[in-house]
Amino acid sequence: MKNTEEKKTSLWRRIMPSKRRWIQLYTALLFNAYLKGYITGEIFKGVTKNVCTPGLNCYSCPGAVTSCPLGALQNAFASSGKTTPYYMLGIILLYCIIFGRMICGWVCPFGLVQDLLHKIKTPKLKKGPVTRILSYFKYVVLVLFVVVFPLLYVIRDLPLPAFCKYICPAGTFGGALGLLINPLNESVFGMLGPLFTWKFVLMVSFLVAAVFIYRVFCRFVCPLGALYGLFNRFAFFGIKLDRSACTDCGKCVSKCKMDIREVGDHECIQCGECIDVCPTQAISWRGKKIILPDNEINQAEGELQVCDEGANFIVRVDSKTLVTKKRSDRVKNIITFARYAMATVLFVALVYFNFFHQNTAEAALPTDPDTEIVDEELSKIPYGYEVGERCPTMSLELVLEDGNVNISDLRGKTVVINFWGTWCGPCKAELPHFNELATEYKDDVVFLIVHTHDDRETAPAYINTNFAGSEMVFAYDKPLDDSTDMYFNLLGGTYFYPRTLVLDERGVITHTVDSAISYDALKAEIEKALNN
Amino acid sequence: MEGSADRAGLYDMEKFKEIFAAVKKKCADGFSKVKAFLKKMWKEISALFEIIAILIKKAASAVKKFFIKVKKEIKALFEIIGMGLSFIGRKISALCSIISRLCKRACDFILPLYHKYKEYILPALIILTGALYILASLIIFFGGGEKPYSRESVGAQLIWLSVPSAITVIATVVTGIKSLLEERREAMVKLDTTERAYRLVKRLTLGASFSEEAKEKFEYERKIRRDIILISLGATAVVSLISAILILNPNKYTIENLNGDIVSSVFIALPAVVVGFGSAIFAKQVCLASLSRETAVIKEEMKTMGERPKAEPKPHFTETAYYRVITVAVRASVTALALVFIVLGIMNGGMADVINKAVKICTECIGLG
Repeated sequence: MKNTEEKKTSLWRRIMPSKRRWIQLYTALLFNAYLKGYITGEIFKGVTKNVCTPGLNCYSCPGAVTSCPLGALQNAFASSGKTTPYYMLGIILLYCIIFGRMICGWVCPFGLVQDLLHKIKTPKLKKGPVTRILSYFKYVVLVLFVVVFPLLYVIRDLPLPAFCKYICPAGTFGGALGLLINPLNESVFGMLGPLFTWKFVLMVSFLVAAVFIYRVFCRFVCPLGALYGLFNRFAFFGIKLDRSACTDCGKCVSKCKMDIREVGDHECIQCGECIDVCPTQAISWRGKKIILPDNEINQAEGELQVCDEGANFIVRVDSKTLVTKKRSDRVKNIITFARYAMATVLFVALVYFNFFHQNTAEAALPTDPDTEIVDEELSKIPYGYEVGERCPTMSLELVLEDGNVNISDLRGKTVVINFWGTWCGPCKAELPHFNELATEYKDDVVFLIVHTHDDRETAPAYINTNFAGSEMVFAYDKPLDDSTDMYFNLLGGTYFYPRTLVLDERGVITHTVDSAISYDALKAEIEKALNN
Repeated sequence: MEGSADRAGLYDMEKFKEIFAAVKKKCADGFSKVKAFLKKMWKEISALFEIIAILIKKAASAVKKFFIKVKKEIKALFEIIGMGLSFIGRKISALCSIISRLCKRACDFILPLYHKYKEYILPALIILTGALYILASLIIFFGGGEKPYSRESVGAQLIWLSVPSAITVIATVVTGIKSLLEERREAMVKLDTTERAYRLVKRLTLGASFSEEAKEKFEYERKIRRDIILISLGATAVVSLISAILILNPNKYTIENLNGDIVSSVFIALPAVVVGFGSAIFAKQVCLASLSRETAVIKEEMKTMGERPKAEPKPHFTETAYYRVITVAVRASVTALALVFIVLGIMNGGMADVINKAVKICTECIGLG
């Protein structure tokens, strides 16, 4: 018996994207609707970032208008010491039980990237028993990098989204590269180091492998797919198999490029390509009745019941009678309405996010002018946040005591200003270095450590536990809007933490950095400022 | 005295006639002299023109002779040049024929190789380009260049990648267009009949109709499969337990050496991963071989199956009412739990945390470090 089938495909059918591809493109554009971000080089800061997309779409991508569920989940685990991660667990569970792994097949932007790369005409690596077994590796990644490592570091009070930091290629591809390619993000290049090199190598490896191996990341690494796959059999929507009609011919499994053992198992991404292949039409969509009503033709054993405008006609026919399935007008109207609704949503999103949304308010210079101008030469130096400009002054509320600290009062000494947050792992990791240097240079240098306005209630406990008696001065930033802090914005901060500035005795900026700074590098800058 | 006046007038007329005649005679003489002078001048001028004409004729003759001579000389020169060019042309032609023969031989050698391996050109280009990108990033990092990096310094070190990238992109586009224009016939993957046949037989529960000898063989094969799976699971469990004990030690993790601690944990987990997957792959191969042997026995048994009674087929677990109840229960409980969690999360500030982490980005958390 021949096991191969041949069919001709027309040019039009080859060129025209399938329904699934259209939806993938639609969701990719909808989740990255802030196209202006690619031009301005800044990330979106609107309220829609409270919402998590179902698929893998890094929130540091300039166009992303929503959050990544995996990144948010890891951050939630990392913050589980102070807040139980109910919200993210609830969101993930909801996506799991409603869609299962249908999200991978229809919605995930990185899945789309891999699908498109796989279309390049090259020899492909076929699936087999070995790839089926290797597909369980993603559960190892899920356990280790998404659950164990973030939770272990909760004990150290250090947020660590380990998967995002060490593995996620979507973050490198969409986020890091998306920021780097913009000429306005010159400062991002200064942040590159061993971690980025590792992630870049990993990203290139995944993208090249995706050309030869179908959805290599989804099949072997993606922890989000691993989670969704666990609920595939119970999800409201997905593929279902009618076992009474199934003859175990295996065509569905052969057609499928994922490592499924049978249709609808935990590896199935519910793409639906097996439906057309099944010779007995045993495969269909589950949950279709929730959205679309029946075709109003129900076939029971030996009985054909036709409903027509409220009047029921029961017509008994032979069970072998062929019934032509046609979509009713109501179904067609629903589908048409859905298409128009989706198009409208996309259009409104594109217009609003790109033309009406104000991403970041600009902080104005403080109203209390600096009247302590030492000499005329200093007065000629403008206020700003670049090296060589005069640092604007502001009065900031102290963390551990009542009262404020005014930057202008610190003139006469070298000042190191650091912006940080208890939710930021690298920020916490570098504070011990700052503490050492603060002790070493306590007579000449003031270390002003400014915490973000958000999560401010967590700062005192952390500082008292780790830096009691420190020479560093801890203060809170003021809010500029819901998502931006005032002094951080005034001193050129965009969205990267930590940020460190070094000022000389006159208050002129001698160094800025938008990432963690090592002990030696900071010490060198302090020495330079002292000698300036 | 009127008569004297008339005689005076008449006298004047004759005088005038005499004068007129004299003047006329003189004019005639003068005219004839002038005419003679002009004739003489004309003769002189004519003689001069004849001389000039002779001179021009002689000059033209001389020029004509000169041009004929020059033409001969040029013709001779061109003949020489032509001979030279002809010589060079013959040599070039000989060289071209040599090159053409070499090209033909090269094509005869390369074209079969191209047709044989052309489908590997694009994959090779893609892999090579990817490797070059990785190499470039490693060179930039380990090259010891100026740090922190700048757009200019990184761009200068990556500029050489533009050529292989462009070649790969062009090759990809050309291959894509070519494949779109070609009429293609889709071929399905060859089915693996072993496991399919086994499951089909199992589903139809024909086992009750098998001979005792066949049942013994099935039992033996099942024992093999069970044992190998248990061994594989056991080995994985032991190594995983040891790794888990080592990894789940909170004191192992420090802030100062964050990356190093994570990497060491990964290396600790590596044996468990290798043993687990390696043993699973080995067990799978053993199971497949066992299934093949079992299927061969089934096929032999099925040849005589028609003579023996068949057992009642049992419904699959997923078709039972019990499974449907479980499914509904799981859906309802998970949905309810999810909604409760979301509400609790909004109340305890978990939702606000999401946007905070999404707009205030810790650079290392997205791989910038």
